[in-house]
Amino acid sequence: MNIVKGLITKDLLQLKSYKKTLILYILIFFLTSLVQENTKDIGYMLIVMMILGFGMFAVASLNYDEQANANRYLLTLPITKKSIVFSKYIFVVMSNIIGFLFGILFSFLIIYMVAGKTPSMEKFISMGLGGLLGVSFIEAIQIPCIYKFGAEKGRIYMFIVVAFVTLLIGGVFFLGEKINIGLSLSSILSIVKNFFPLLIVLATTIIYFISYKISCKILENKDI
Amino acid sequence: MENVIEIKKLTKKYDKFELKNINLSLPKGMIMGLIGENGAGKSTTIKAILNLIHIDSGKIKIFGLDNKREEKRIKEDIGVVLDDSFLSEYLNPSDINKIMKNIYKNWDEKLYFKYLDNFKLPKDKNIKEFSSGMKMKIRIITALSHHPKLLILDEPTSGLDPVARNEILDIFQDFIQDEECSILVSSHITSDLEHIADYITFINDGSIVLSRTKDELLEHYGIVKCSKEEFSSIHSSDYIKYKKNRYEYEVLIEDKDLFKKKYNSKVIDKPTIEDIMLIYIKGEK
Repeated sequence: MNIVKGLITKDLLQLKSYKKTLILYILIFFLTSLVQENTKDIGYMLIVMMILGFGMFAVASLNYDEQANANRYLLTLPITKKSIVFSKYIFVVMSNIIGFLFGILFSFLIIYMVAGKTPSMEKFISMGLGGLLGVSFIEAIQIPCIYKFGAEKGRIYMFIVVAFVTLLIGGVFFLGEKINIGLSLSSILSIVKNFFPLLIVLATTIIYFISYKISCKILENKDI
Repeated sequence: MENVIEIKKLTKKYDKFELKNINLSLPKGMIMGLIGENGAGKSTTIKAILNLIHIDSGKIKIFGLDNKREEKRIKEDIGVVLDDSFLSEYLNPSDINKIMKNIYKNWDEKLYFKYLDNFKLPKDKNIKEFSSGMKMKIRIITALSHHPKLLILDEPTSGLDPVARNEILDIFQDFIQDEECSILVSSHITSDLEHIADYITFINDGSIVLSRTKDELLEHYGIVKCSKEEFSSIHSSDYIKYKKNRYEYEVLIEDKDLFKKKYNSKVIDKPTIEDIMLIYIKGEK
């Protein structure tokens, strides 16, 4: 566990130069929310933007690793490929959760203190968990792509995979509706509405687990 | 003598390059210099030792242990400096300490900061702002601060000025004072290895051409400079390779005493490692 702690420390410390960008990002969204007419709605959106911002921050650590060719060096230390991948996913998940918490805090500040409205807890949770799922989905595709193709090419492949998966899901829904097998959007939405938080947590865990396994396999087979 | 590194019949095939049947042994307490031109296979051999690449066949043992099965245990006791990879340059030496103390069981914080002071490296300045010499020093210090028994260094002096190179060679000399410690160092700056190495292993085009003690190499090998006519009288089994220059032939021989007796030759030059390497690469047989 010490090794994972060491690797997460590395990710955090090497991103300290990114700190100013992140603060600027938070400030921009915070201030833009204040000057909008519908401050309350924008306030809820802030949760998603914070998760996205912190998620991007975490994925940037992969770019720093690539720039320094750090994985090769790390593997000369008593560190396994599995630990490198595992610590990266822990770091990414932690960043998302911190983004989620910051998002709720800022959102609360804007809605309650600036717009003078009572924030809806249900909306907080649904926006936050929805944002988490979306960002996790992108990251779960992005991380293995970066391990496989590098940060530059990985981005292109990520867009291709995201587009493909979106089309696939859309296609499944479309077919479901066409052949009437109960896979209509409305029936899915009603399930989602009833089991929303549980489903999102479950879906996020599953996509991260699959992504983690793929990343491990990629790095295991790769000559570093 | 106990071997710290033992490689047997190592092969690794790429599309345009191949490591062919590499056999290599580094005895404990010795410094081995791995020489060869760029792309000869030095770095690939080091990567294979460190299990960074999947080899096609062969066996590699470090401290008598299999380098794959006992990888973690082995890596606790080795320090590695690679030419093209390290931690991010957005970290500073204090950050590196915070990371490494979680990674090595034997990480010696005091020793690390002592090295930083000795080499006048700032603790809170990002590596990005260091000179090339300072960057290499921080890599070497990081490799030394967990009391390794073996140092593996890939081109540690390339791109450095003579002063920085000398300082770095001094670090290696200090490290080897403890007879339990050994070094495998690859370099194409052969004069550096002439200073510090006990053994020289020469890799050319993916094969080991020679692996001998430095003294043997420099004492026994010789270069005969002669005319075309004189060269034609030398039997091909009596020389390793020859190089045709504009006005003379340079002939590399393995045993200059034997050659002296057989050909009654008076002038046989003592070669440098670079001379030997050049004739091996550029010469003909």
